[in-house]
Amino acid sequence: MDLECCKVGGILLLVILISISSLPASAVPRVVKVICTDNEGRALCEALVLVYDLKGELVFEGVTKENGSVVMKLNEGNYTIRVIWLNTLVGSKDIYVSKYSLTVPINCNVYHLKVIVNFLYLIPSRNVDIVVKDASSGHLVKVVSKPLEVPYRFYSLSAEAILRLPKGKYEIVVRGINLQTKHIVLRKSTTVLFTQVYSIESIIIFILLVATVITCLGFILLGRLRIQRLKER
Amino acid sequence: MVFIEFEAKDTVIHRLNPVAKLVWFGSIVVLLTLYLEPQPLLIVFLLEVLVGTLAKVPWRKLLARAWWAFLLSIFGGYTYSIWINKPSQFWRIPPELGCKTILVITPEGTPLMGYTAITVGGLLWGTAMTLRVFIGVIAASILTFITPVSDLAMIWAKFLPYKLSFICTTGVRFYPVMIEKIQEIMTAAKSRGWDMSSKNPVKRIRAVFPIVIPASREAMLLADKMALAMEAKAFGVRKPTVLKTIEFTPSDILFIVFSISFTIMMFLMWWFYGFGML
Repeated sequence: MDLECCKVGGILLLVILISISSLPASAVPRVVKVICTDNEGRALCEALVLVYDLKGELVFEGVTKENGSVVMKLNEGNYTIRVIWLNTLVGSKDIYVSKYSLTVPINCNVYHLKVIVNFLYLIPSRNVDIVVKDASSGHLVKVVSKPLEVPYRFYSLSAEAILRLPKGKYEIVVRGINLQTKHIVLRKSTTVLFTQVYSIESIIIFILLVATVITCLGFILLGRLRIQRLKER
Repeated sequence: MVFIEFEAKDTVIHRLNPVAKLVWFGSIVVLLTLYLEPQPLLIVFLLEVLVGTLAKVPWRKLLARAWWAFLLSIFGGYTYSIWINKPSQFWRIPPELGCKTILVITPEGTPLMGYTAITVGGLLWGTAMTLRVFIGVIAASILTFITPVSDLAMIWAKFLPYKLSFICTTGVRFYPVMIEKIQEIMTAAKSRGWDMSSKNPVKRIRAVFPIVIPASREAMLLADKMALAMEAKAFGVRKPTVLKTIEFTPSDILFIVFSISFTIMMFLMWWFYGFGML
């Protein structure tokens, strides 16, 4: 009877030991922090982060915070992280999650497009809307509403907006009182200048500038002519 | 304060009517009150130099007489600028740039002074203040150089009650006369051994008395003579006949339009783009 008990106890112990040793480490989740940055190294806020396992199943879905980070808990194993920005895949990375917590920086293919709207290169047109469309599909990508910012600079004035867009072909429409369209292929951070769009304030300032120059020149010429005539008399 | 007196010259600016000259001066004063940054003030300054050059202003004479005002503005502007170091003091310039410290003068918590430092924003503010005084002094000097007092009096007479305009005109007209009289009194006092070189403020104030008393006497005599002359000419019985009328030539109109359009343009740039807001 005693021998029987010992046998059963031994078998039970063996079963427990085997089951514990065969338990995978992945059962204990690890903290994984994904930090998304754009091509200029700035944090990419509100980017969609998707994590797939080796079978291709979605295991995590989240949006980055202001500092470009999103935190998740993953079991040990191999995963693929994908970053989506404005409905476009802008970054992807394969990772292996081991026993330790992990920080994954992902530099995404998101470029800065600086749109400057200066009427005749000189006068900023603030009250304009900027519409960015995908040139191939025609889908609306981004809209920047009026008024535009006039950032502080020592020597120049310009109304501008900085858009962060994925690589691709775009059609940019700037709409003030009139509108101007430009097509660009975005492969790196770039600047696009719109010089023909005017808004109410830029056209008033332009008219005043013209009036100032004309009246100044007219006054000098007319005054000199008058003095010359008087001298001739 | 008159740094340079009127000189009758045959220039396009001298030929303008006094209203046009006053509109130009008024536009400069309006613009000076707007800006806290040197960039737009430089544009105003260049415009002023253009008008001064057209009027053939004796720049050297002006500099020789007003150098202390310029020096005082540099000293005052840059001294006060060391307190311009808080983000709340900047409207448009990014606070991190405005408050960028070049040199800390007194640390935080210093009695009376508080925290003082040379900052980028402070330097911009100090330069703007200096330029404001420069431009103001030069504009006033150009105005007195190109406009005879009688012309200014004619404009005053248009807007002010007759007796008040007469008082203003008399004050301005007799200013150089009184200066001349005081100079004479001072020369006479010096010949009798009068000295005002003492650094002691009490002694300096006491030294002024021998000048103030005869100067007041001269002023009273002058006023008495003038009152007699006015009475003889029946002042106040009825409004006097206007001898000169203000006429607008095309040059005057162009100059007025130029001054107004320039001012409105600069104002709108300030309003819409924050141009000149620190």
